[in-house]
Amino acid sequence: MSASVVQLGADSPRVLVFAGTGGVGKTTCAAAVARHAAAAGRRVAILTIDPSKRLADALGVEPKGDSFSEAPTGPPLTADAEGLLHVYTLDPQRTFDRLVERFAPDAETLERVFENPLYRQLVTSIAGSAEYAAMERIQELAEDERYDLVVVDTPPATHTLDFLDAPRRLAGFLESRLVALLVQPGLSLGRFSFRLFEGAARRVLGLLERISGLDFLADLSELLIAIQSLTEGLYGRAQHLNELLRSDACQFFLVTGPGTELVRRGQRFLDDLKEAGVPIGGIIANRVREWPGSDAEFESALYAPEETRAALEPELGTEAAAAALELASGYASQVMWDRETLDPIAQRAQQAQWSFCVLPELPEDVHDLEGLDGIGARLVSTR
Amino acid sequence: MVRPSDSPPLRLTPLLRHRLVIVTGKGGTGKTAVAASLAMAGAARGLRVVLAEVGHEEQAPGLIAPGSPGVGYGGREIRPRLRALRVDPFAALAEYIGLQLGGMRLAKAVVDNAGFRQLMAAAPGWRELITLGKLWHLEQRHDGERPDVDLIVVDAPATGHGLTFLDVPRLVASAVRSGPLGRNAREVERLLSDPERTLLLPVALAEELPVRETCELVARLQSDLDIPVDRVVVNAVEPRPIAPDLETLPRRLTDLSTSARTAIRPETIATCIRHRTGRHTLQQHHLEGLAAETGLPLVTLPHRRGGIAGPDDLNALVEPLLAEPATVPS
Repeated sequence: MSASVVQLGADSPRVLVFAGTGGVGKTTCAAAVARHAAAAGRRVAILTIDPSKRLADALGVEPKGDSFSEAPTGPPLTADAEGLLHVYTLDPQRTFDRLVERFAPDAETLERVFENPLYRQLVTSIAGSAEYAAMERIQELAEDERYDLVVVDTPPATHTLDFLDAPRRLAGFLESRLVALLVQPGLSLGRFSFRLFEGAARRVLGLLERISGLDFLADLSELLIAIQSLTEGLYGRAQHLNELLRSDACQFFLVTGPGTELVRRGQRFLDDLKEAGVPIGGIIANRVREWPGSDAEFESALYAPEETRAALEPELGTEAAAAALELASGYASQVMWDRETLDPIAQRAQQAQWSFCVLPELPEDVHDLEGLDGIGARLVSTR
Repeated sequence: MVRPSDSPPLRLTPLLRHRLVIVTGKGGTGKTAVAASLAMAGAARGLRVVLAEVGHEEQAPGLIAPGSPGVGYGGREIRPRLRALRVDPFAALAEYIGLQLGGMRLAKAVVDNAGFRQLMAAAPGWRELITLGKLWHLEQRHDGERPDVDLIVVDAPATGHGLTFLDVPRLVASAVRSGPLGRNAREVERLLSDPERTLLLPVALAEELPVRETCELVARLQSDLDIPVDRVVVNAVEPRPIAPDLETLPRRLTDLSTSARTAIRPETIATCIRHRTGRHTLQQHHLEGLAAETGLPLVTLPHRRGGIAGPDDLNALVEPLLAEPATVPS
């Protein structure tokens, strides 16, 4: 009824990004694909950007700050398969630190950045910084020669777009005239001279000073001056990442599920991905209820359960027969609902030639590795 | 505080006696529907309500009043006494700067300045602070003795980001010690931590991952965020499948397989029943785990076949939502 969605071959993409609204099983799908690829002999790094560290849980390892945990691969698919699976959870602080270390021109700049109180606050605690760090981390892993496949589990939908936009925002920020003004050498905002500024920028800075108080502005100015020397490196990095995400080396997968609301969001999410110009690999419809019997039985359960009820009545008793048929036809209409609501997105996939894969709702949650391997086998084909 | 009520039979339950209810939860849990239905309930009970959505989208107005045009930052009354608005950070920033400078013209010039927008687009943190600041400002406004708005319901960002969202005032208050910004951040922080005025309402589903995230959220609220929380809403809870001798029914059906010639085979019916009871058992397991780990009472909302599409669906949620929660899930 549905093909596998991830094709792994010699020329397949290096970076697979799983995206979609929350609660649809994105993390499970990403973990299953990574484990299966490792079982097929790939050297896989999987990264979770979600602030709640669930991916490591799903793969049965302890999350480890900035470094990786080695997770068991699925049972090797071929005798000579020697894959590996490293699980990373994002640590924005360490990722930023590494970036600064890499591009700081000298030890003095490094120290100034690290000791700036605003730097700590910016990189650890404030929304938005995780997205920058995530993008940086993906790039590091994509360049890491230990791995030939990087699987990424993203935060829920609206934030995934912020996240795609992060490198561009960073580049825009670094290029902005206001930053250029703030970081003029020898200028400290604690005692700066407004003569240097013209028009709007002057008003903005005056205002920031008035609203925020000077201790804050002096920190900001210090930080920006220090960061300025990193700019070229950071800027090039952001550009490079923009290109990576929009190249053949990368593929995005939408994870969605049945129901009008999920499908509506999924559709909009596909629109956004298309607009962002990233390559879309396929769609996974998760937790879809499947009918356990034949098509004729399905029709009968939907439209004419009465006949079967009457036949079962002498055997089970009136009440039990009625209840049994009620439960069965109720289940049939749930199955129907799932199929109907998914239809528009399935058709879109067909037209756009994206692969489309249906994962059945299981009577239990997937929380063991065996369950994960079942999903992996359904999602991935190796050529 | 005296509350007006033009429809006496409708009571104000404790949930509606707050000034600010922040609805949060993992994406897909239906937190927008919960926020919308709470706002409708408040307005129906005579409260002047603001329903504030945070983020890029306006979803709640379309649920409450299908086909209604956008509400924007200024907001619009979409039902009697119910004003919906969307907190756009830049609009809120312009308003804030305008208040600081005593005029909107200069504020608009600043916020519309391309360089300034570029700087702010990249700067993290301020969106959260300005958004919460706007909510604080709504809470503060009074018409004489009586507040302009009785109840502010916030459809907040999804859990993971919701936490950073709520943590920002504390961070700013500690980073910026002088000036109006630091003072405002401390005022917002005070509002968020005041149990008389504020309640955080987490929305979960009776599924593994939403339950785990909700437990993490509550743990952080109780350890270092200091924002009042007193119950968890669990959405889309399926009723227990009902049949006499439900446990043995599938077996009895399977045993019939050889003898009965029916359009739907007894085995198929048995599988359907197992599937439904299996999901229900699992759901109960998650509900119990959620109650035990958070130590909070649960409010369960029934699953609506066909999802939540309009005001009728929202109204159906009101009664269970306002009911004081049971400690043990049923």
